[in-house]
Amino acid sequence: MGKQVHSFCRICEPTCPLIADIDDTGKVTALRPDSTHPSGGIACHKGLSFLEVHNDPDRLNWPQRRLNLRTEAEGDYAQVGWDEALADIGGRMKSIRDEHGPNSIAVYVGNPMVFDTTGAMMAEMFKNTLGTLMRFSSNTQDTQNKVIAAGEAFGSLGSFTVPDLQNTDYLLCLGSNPRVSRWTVMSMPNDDVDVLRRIRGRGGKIRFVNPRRVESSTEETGPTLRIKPGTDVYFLIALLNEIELKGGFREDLLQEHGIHVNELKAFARRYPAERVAGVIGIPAETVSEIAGEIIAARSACIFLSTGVNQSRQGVLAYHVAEMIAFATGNLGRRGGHYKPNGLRNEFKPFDKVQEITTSVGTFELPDPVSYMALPASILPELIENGDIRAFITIGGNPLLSVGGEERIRAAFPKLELTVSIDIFRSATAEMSDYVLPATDWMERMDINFLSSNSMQPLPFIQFTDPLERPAHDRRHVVWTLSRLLQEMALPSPLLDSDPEMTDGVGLIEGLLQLRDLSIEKITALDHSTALLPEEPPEAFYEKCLQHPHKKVDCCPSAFVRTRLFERCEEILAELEREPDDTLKLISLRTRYMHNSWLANAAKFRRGKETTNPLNMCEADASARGLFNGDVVRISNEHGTIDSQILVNNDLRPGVVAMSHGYGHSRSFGLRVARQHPGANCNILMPTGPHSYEPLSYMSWLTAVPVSVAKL
Amino acid sequence: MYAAQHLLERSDLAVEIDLYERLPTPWGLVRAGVAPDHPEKKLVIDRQFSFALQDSRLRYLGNVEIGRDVRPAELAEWYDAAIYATGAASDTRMGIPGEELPGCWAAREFVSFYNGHPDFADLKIDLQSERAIVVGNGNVALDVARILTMPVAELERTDISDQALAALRDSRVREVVLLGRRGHLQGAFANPELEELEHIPGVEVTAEGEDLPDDDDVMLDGADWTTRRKLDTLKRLVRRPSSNPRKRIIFRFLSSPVEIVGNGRVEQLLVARNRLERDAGGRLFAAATEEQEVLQAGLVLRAIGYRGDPFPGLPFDTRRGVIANLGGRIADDGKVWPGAYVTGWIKRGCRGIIGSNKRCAAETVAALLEDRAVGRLRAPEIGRDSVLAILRDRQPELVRLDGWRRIDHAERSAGRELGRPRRKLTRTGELLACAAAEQGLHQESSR
Repeated sequence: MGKQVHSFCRICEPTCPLIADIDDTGKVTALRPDSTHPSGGIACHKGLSFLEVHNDPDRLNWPQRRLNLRTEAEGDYAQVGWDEALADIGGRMKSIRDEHGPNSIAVYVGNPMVFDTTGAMMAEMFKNTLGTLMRFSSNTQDTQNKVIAAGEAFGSLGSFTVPDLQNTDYLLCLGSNPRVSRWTVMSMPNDDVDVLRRIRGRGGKIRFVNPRRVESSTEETGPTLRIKPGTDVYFLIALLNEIELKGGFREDLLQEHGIHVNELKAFARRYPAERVAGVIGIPAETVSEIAGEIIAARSACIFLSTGVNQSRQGVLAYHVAEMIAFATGNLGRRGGHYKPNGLRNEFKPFDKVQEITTSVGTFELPDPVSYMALPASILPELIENGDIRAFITIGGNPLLSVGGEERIRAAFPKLELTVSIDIFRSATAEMSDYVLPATDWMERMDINFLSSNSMQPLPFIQFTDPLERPAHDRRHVVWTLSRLLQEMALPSPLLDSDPEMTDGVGLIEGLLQLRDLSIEKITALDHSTALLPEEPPEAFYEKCLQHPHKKVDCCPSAFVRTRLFERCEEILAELEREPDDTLKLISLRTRYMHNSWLANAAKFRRGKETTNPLNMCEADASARGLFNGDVVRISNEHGTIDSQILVNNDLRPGVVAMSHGYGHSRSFGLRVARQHPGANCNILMPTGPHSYEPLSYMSWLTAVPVSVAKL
Repeated sequence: MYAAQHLLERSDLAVEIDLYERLPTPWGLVRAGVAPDHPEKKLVIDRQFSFALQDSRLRYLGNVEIGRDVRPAELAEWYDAAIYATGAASDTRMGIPGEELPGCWAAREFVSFYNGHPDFADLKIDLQSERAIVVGNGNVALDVARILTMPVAELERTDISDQALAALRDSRVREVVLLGRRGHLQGAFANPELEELEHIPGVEVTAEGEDLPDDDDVMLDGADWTTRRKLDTLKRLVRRPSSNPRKRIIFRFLSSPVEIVGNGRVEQLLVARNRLERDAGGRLFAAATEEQEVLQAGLVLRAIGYRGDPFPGLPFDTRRGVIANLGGRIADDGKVWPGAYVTGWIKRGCRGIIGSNKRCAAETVAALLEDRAVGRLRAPEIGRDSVLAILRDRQPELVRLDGWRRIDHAERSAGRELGRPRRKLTRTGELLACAAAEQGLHQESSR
């Protein structure tokens, strides 16, 4: 007979509701959208196709130990028992830690971990117990600028806002393509952007700002203003300035809730629209027109995402966007920027920092570190210089997802120990002494903690049981990390509280308790889902402003201290000097790849997805005598890759685009991916001490100059 | 191409594919069938098919005709399996007197002409009369009507053939009548194609033969959403105000051709007025009434369906116009031929859009792999190199991937100068010369 079980997808933020068909043997036979769930979200093909990943014959099933040296690209792996593997790893980590200190052990946490509630909590506990500040994560590749900017302006690292799309009358959407990426750092039920059509339906307006006409931009939503890549920050500052010139500032609100308002105004006045028009590629009149639209709108949101975050000045860009909302009365208002209710709904003050000193400088991190991590783009130096002795990767693939693949590969043999905990033998895992098999999201109990942590317009908590028992010897990271601590003779949850704990049931119970819930109570509810009451958007001021003065800091001293303003001026000068025929490479997310998650799923590797072509518009191709399909060499001072041209007229001239997540020629454990490796465009991304944004430590991964030559 | 793609996707198999093509150029109907003003429908080439063609496990063998240069029986010996995806080279005839008169063509021929298919490149189609009649109102009929009425300046930005452009520049056709056997509720067109007519500048659209219903007409009860949507579009089209239209498209419903009349060429079409009746099964069909009318026209294009031709050496189902098969396995009188398969129109009949062939090919490939798994396939008798040597011997002007790339580049280069996506080479001689340019065939790698 089998049964149907409610669950939810854990690939990206919407955590779409799913129904799993499970047969009598306990195998999941299909994943289907759950259209009865109150969120209204409908799972897309990535989630519905996850059985391809789950049942992939290349999944890791047993701990593996590398027999040959890491100087060889292909690992010679032998299956070992968990006890043997953990004892050896733990013992070696212990002696490295004893000899070189806790910071000699680096931990890289990948993006899939944020969709593993207890795994992420355990990883945090693991790093804290190790006592290491040598922490890296995918956050510096996608979103850390928002976290730190919110911390500085609003006083809590969790205070980054969510746009009230359900009610807004105006949306300015920069560097984001929600129709493909399903919104980010917010959890919008997936509706194929119906929410945008409804904005139009009620007479509102939407504008996309992007170097590429994005799939989200249609006649039913709104046009794309094709900005020059990496210049959004200047567009936003000029917009802020233009709004003030037009008398659009709510001085009363700035007075009541803001500090350092004059400093912000002075900063904005340095960037009149006329000054930046050439650099951003948008006429001053258009900037002025948009300023007028925002002032006139009953409510307005500015949403910016990965395309802006990764383009060198994510902190300032995000800050200015929030300041526009604040200055126009759109912060903490219906239809503006706000912070929904959430499971925890508590925003801890960001009032302490701690330091780590390395061979390439001293870095500040919040105390507690929270979501923050060190710049991933200095990994090559830190390994080369011996700061890092042991490298533990948890659900991450930094070899491909960070710049400097070749440098990291070259440096890796210097490490005394590398361990990768993953569901696949990825490119990074291939370079590891030990590869430890983890569970995927179908094999573990979970709640939608990331999303229900004040990122959903319709706040709800959903619980799911594991859909299948973990196959073979796969283990949840909670158990693996606990055992590792045990082997290092450090405090471990396995020793202390719950010797049976394998999947963090206690951690989930603890979270649910915050809302007077328990696993028993929530599973008794429809869809195992508890709806949280909505809160008025005005609650933002009360709950999210966590500076001692309880105000919005419009010009945080940390920005001054880290020279963000001077840097902004320097980069502008650099852009002004740029030759007219400069080509800039931007990052393009497709429906078929998700970071490097789907690289080994045959159904996502068809047609152009078998390679990672260089998208280029006809005008640029024509000017270079290039045709669709031509094999080209793309290079800059950081590296060289080969790809082929795909003519794509959605791009603004002067802009070329590739997707990240490719470059699997040395991923020997991924047979499909290796057959269609594609080029790793992150090889072209800057690395080293000056490559990241100060304060946020964000990698520079888009809007990078490249040259293209026919092969 | 979908079948090849499905096979190449199987990373667990060591697949090797030879792709035979009768023409020097690949892509079948996507190149020769899709209307030139529909470039978005050809994106499947740049986004999908071209990546399969460049796969190192696939060899492109252009300008080789199965049945002439190679016999199906030979393919059965040379390969584990052969998949025939030959499409439809013929069409359904009206079966009326006068159909043979000059001036009466198959829409298929006109489509092949304006798309630069080498077999039809120099079709002497006469566009000197004011009215053209298209029999049928499916999407091919609409394609043809659009091409005949669209401003030439717009076509000059497409990859339409130069010969067609020249003919259309001289065209005197002002009115295109689309004859539909049944009523507006049974129109064969799809909504997007209908909506496109709104965007042709200076073209008026009218409907004749049957009054379009009001919104609350009882006739609409029971009509499904798709039908209502098409009808809404049609009504919107017809009710548009127009002043001084340059050209006109007329949907004439409940009308069937009876006879083409003319002195040595098409001059008139005799049309019967139909009435809808229900057959024993309750299905609507068109029955001719006594009422007839004469339409003056110098051009009649029949667009009432493509049809597959029998293939030499393979069993044919004449009733359905397909190579006889059982779910993709070629079968003579129900008896399966091991290792021989079909996909596409020649398997299931001439229905569906480009994407429909994906699922169709998946079924065929699944059958092939199943046969392989249970050991029904016979191993090839000769190696890949020998096959190539035989082909070179029989067809010295074999076109390989690099030859096609030269054609592709030449066409795109020539197009670029004129702001067109490509300027097609339309004659076999030109295509072969271009493919062989620079490095002669004899210098080509012997892969």
